[in-house]
Amino acid sequence: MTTTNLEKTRFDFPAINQKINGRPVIYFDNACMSLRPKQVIQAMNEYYEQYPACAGRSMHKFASKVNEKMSEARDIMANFIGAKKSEEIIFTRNTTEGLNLVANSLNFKHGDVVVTSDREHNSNLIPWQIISKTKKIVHKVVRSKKDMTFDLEIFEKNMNKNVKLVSMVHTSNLDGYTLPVEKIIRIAHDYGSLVMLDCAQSVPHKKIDVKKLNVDFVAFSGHKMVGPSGIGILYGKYHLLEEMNPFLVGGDTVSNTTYDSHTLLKPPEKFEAGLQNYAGNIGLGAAAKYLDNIGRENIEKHEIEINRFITQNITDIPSLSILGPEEVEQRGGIFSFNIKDIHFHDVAMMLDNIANIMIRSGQHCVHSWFNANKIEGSARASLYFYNTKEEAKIFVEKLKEISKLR
Amino acid sequence: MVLCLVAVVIFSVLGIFSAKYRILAKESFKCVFRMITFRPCESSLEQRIRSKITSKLIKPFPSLAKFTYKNFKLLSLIFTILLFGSLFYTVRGVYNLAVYGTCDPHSTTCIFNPGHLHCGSEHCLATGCPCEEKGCEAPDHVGCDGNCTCVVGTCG
Ligand SMILES: Cc1ncc(COP(=O)(O)O)c(C=O)c1O
Repeated sequence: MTTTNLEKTRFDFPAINQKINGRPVIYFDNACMSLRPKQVIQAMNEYYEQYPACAGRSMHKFASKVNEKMSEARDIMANFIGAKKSEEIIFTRNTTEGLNLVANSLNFKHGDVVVTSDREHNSNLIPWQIISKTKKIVHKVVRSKKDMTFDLEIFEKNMNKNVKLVSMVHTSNLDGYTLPVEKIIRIAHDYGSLVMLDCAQSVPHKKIDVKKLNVDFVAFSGHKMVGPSGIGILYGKYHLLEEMNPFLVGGDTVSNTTYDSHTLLKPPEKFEAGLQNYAGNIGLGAAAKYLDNIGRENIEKHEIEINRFITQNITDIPSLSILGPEEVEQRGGIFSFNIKDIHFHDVAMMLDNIANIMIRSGQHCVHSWFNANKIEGSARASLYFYNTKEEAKIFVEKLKEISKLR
Repeated sequence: MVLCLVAVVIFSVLGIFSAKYRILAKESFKCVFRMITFRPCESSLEQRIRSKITSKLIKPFPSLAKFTYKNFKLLSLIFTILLFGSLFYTVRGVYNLAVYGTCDPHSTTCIFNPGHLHCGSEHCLATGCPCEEKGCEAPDHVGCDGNCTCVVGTCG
C-alpha cells in the first residue's frame, strides 16, 4: 500500500484520529477487534435513521427496504469469500456461534471423530469437549511440530474413516501462523471427512475462496474485519446445510406450524432464528466492500512488512522472545512475545501508559496451548492495514525502554 | 497484595468524592478480604499500580523506574507500614484533641493544637498543671496553651 493510500484510509477511522492525554493512539489490538471506518458506521446509522424496521415479516416500505439491504449484504458476503450462492451464507452473532451451530447441528453419532489442531481458540475446543460427553464422539488433537508449524504427518496418522469432521483454525490468533489448509482439506476429504475452518483471523487479512479451497464450513466475525460487533458469518456448502437441523429455532425459521408440527424454511433462513441484527448485517456488508476496495492481498503484504520491521528491530533486545515460527511470513500480522522477567500484563499496561500503544496480553483464549506448553501467557501486538511503520517504530522504541527494567 | 491494604484506606476516602475511586476501593477491599481469609488475591490492582508508577518514571528516571519495578513489593510494604504508623499517630492525636484539647499534651510543637488547654480540663487536673492566670480573673475564664500557660480565655 502506498503511503498516500494509507494516509487516506487512516482518515476514515475516527478512533485513530483522536489524541489521548495529548498523544496519538497506536492501536495494535486488531486480532481482538478491529476499528471501524466511517463508511461502516454510516451504513449502520442509515438503517436506524431511515428504515429501522423488520425484514421478511411486514409488507410496508421500510420492511421492503430492509429486505433489499439484507439480501444485498448477503450477496456481498457470498462474493467476499467466493461462495457459490448467497444461500450458503448464514448470519450469526460471531465466529463462536458459527462453530457451535455446526457442532450442534451436524448429525454426530457415537464413535464419530472430530480432529482439531493444538492451538484452537476456546470457541473451537469447548464445543467438542462437550459433544464428546453428550454424543460420545472422540476428540483428537494434532500436536504441532517443535517449530510451531502444523505437523501434516501426525495429522494424516490421526485420520481414518471414522473422522466425521476436521475443525481447525485457519490463522492462529496465538502467533499468526496459517495452517496449510489446502493440504489438510485434501487429506480430510480423501478419508471422507468434512472440514470446518475457523477463519476469524484469516478472512479479515487474506483472500479466501471457499470454492477453490473446497472447504465445507467457514466461520468468521464482523468485528475483526472493520465490521460491527455482534455479527458474524457461517458459510456452509448448501447440500450440507440442507441436511442439517437448526441449532436455534423459532420465529423466521419456519413457513408454517400447527400445535404439534412445523415446516422449516430452507437454508439460510432455517438457521437464522428470531429477529436479526439488521444494522449489523448491513454494516458487515459495508465492511466487506471497504476491504475489497483496499484489496486483501495488499492488506496481507502491508501487515507482513510492518511485522518484519518490528522483528528486525527487536533483535537487540536479547530478553525478548517471539512466540511462533521464526519467519515473519509465517506469522502474518501478529507479533506475540514475552520479555524475560517482565510480566506480559505489565508490558501491555506500560505500553498503554507510556505511549497509548494498545496491545493484548494473557492467553488469548487459547489457554489449552499455554497450559500444554507451560507458558503463562504472552503479550500480543496485532496489526492491520491502517497501522504504519512510524507506529511500529515507536512500539519498538518503547519495548526497548521497558526491556531495560529487568 | 500488601498494597491493597493501603489502597483500601486511600480509595475509600477518595471514593467519597468520586465513583471512579469507589470501584477501586471495592476491588482493593475484595483483595484484602481474600487475603485475610487466606485466599490468593484475584485483583490485578497492585500490578496496575506498579505499571502506572513505573511508566511515569521510565523516561525521566530510568534507573529509579527499574528500582521501583524490581522492588515494588518491598516499597509497598514500607509504604504500608508508614501508612499504618501515621494512621496510629493521627488517631491518637484526634483522641488527645477530644479529651485534652490538644493533639499532643506533652509538647508545644503540635501543629494541630487549636489553642488552649482549659485549666479545668482533665489533663490539667490530672497533671496538676500550673496555670498562670495572666490578666484574667480566676477561676471562671482561664485557659492553658500547650505548656499549660494560662492565657486570656472567654469568660463563661
Ligand atoms: C482464531 C479465533 N477463533 C475464534 C475466535 C472467537 O471469535 P468471536 O469472539 O468473535 O466469536 C477468535 C477471537 O478472538 C479467534 O481469534
